[in-house]
Amino acid sequence: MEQLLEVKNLVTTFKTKHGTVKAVNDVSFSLVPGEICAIVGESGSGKSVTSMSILRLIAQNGTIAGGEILFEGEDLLKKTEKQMRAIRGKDISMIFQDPMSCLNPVFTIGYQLEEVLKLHNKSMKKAERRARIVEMLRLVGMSNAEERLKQYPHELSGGMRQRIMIAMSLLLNPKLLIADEPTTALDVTIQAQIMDLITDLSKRLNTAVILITHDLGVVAGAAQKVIVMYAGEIVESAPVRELYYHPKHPYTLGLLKALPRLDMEQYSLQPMPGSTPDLLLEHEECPFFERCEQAMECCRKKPPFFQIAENHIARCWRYHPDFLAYQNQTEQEENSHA
Amino acid sequence: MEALHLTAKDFQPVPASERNADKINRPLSTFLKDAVGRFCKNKLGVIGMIIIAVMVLLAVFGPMVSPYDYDYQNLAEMNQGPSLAHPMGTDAFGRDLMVRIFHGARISLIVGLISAAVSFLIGVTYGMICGYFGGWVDTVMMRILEIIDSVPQTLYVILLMVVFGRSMTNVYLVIGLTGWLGTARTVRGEVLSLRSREYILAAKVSNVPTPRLMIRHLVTNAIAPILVSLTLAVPSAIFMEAYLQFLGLGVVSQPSWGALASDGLNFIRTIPHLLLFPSFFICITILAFNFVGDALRDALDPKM
Amino acid sequence: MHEQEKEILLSVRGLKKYFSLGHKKVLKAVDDVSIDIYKGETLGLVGESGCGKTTFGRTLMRLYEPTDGQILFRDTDIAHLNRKQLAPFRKDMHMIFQDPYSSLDPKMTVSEIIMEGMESDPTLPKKDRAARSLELLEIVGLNSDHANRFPHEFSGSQRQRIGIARSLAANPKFIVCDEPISALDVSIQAQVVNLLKELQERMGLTYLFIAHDLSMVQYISDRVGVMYLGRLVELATSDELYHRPLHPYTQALMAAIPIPDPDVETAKSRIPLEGEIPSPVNIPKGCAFCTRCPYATDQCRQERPSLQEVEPGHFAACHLIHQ
Repeated sequence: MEQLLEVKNLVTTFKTKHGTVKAVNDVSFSLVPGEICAIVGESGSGKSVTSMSILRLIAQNGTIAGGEILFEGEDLLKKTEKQMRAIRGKDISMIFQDPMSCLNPVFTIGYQLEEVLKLHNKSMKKAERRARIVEMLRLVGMSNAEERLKQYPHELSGGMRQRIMIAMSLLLNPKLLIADEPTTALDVTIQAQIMDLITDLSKRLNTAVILITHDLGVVAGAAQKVIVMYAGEIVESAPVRELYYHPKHPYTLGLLKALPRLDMEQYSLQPMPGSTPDLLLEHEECPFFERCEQAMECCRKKPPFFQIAENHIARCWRYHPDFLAYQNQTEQEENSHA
Repeated sequence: MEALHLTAKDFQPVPASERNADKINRPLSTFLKDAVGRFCKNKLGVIGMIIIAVMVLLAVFGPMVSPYDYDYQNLAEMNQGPSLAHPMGTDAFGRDLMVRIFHGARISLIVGLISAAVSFLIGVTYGMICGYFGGWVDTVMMRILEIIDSVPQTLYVILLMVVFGRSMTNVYLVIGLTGWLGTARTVRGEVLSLRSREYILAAKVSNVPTPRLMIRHLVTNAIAPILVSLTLAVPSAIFMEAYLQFLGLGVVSQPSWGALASDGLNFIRTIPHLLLFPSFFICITILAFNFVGDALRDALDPKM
Repeated sequence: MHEQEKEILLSVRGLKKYFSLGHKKVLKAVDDVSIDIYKGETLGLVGESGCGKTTFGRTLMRLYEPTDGQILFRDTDIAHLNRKQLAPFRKDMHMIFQDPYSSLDPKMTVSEIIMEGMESDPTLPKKDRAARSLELLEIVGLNSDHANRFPHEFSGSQRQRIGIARSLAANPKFIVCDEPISALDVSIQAQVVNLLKELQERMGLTYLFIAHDLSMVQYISDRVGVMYLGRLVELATSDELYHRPLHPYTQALMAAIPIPDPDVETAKSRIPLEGEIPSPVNIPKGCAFCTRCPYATDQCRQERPSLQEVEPGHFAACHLIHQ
């Protein structure tokens, strides 16, 4: 299938008063139309910066220092700001963690939704716009849509606001939706509703989704492909079942072992030691080195990606062919001793 | 990458002792060190600091070094312009203006510091109580503050000076007693935002007595705006004192800068330097304190 | 927890905490909650935001003045004691807070922060306090070199461990853990939870563990209480609650919690809860959950169900179960 989005070797840096931070370092991935791809990582892993780089919406002190972002074959990094503005919202749209900060408190919901249509589609008539908006609100499961249009953001609950944001982001039939922690600010019961809505709409409208989250539980039920990021780098990328049932990178493994499972009894969590590395310091070793229980001498150098299965890659020396051979050999030796 | 060959040596496990997952990478830096660093980068702040230091030195040593006394009258040298013997000239009684200005610096600076200290004490306490207790205590105290604030400070000062009589102590007190409103407001605002912090709850759970809790957690964490308002209170007190002298409500026996300027005003057409020199010192000192106040605000609160 | 000798450490009877919002509006943050906390157990308390779980914890700690009800601790009702009368109880209870960034005073060093926790115990000699703070640092897995550093130099989990050391400073018997892990990254939540478990075994502590993450609460707790709009709707041992949730809200909550397993997650038939949580200022008449409950009857809309023991040790507040 043709790729909708291809990110190649993306590097994004930020200048801070303590030095330059490589928030995203050599990130590559691709997405086909209609696919839901999750980017999972902890705070500071660079998952949000990756998505903001795709839209070229990074903060003043940040620069995209390298790489390509091909959207339908065209490099977004080469577009002018004006061209980008036409793409944002129309072809690629985004929803954020906190819907309140994206809605203007002094305008009604209806006005703000209409504004989006007006900006990108000037030929549309008022009645057509209204019809489209009401249709969209129905689609995101908002009852009495006509009345909602007259309400102000503060009159709605968090879950409702997030629905409005989803409606707004899908108004123009974008090909790609970036959802940055869409349910983190919501309660569990509401989270389930919103996640169901996103996956359902993606299927119906054939919209590709980049789902950015720290919650491996949310990912399990929604995504087809999962990218695990750590300290600005991709450490593992695999189809969802492959990643959960055959995780390869020690970080992914550790993460899954440190998660509580509601459906299991009598188990103990295995905590991961330490905390995420300081990105201000230039690291020569594997970024997970300090916390990795399987660290080896060669891990003092940063590992490249190793292909594990089709579509499954991991950045860890343990999947180097030489290591696999060495492991086999030692195993055989042990067996013969026994 | 494919060419890279690894050997058994590369696969030796690295023990956890060689990897320190819990290490602290950030260089040790304290809040104070950071703040001093930021302050020193602010040119105007540093200039202000230097000016204030020079003023203090002049006030302390100026009158000692000068061959004249501030109240020594030499009628033979009346109304002279600047010369080598009298770099700032003399006044209508033949007194050396420079030594009078240096002596005036003592009075003006002391007035500034003591009045600021008085208003600081009242303002911090008042604001702290408003912000910490909140509720009706806050409502009542803030209404009282607003009533006081609705009458201009000058009017109070004049009234109080008339009631208490003119003396140096009364000048300090009166300016201090009327100048605390802004400090109280700042402190209240700061405490309102600090009091819901969880470390305040933790202190309450640990049974820390309220006054100790206020000093330990609230004053120290609100120190930035408190210091800034203290620095800005000094020039306004200096100005207020000069203003009083100018109106003729000051202490006549003491040649503060305000008194000197007021005297000079009578001769503005004939010997303008009598007004110009004291006014220049008032201006530059107030400016210096304001520079320092602004620089302190930037240094202590990098968010603003 | 041994079934035979359950000794009650703290008993809450009909606790209410209302906040007046002016204009005759009253926020019923905690509305008539009764619960016993046994010695040495971890009682989990879950609920969504605004359900009053944090207010409940803070009211137990007497950071808030209860509107009504009793808190029996060591045979004394501490609910309405004044500051002075409360002082001898302070050393037996402490608290771990949610936000490791705002729970440590940024202007104090780590050892000063921990020593502050000792102030509720006046019997502890002043000269021993510094040494004890170092000891506590070791207990929570930090080392004594850290004692003179300031909080901003530490990572989230290290800060939370400092908070834990402070809460242990006066050798308390009972600790309220108010969402101690929700502000932490996923990979380090387990560190803190396991430390809490270990400390409990070592020191015989009793926890009230408040969180919105049911899977973590389930993991650490012996018994779990579920709150909804200021009321306790269900209380049972954590296994029982997972296997046989009785209250429709608990059932929906269980179903909504995502499980990090694609097969389980896709196979799961979710009963999506309709609608939104009503505002705690305007709690529905009758059962608080009646507006969202798929089984609500007229009785539910009229009469408030009381918490009743359905089976030994399993309590629920629902009309449908009682019938």
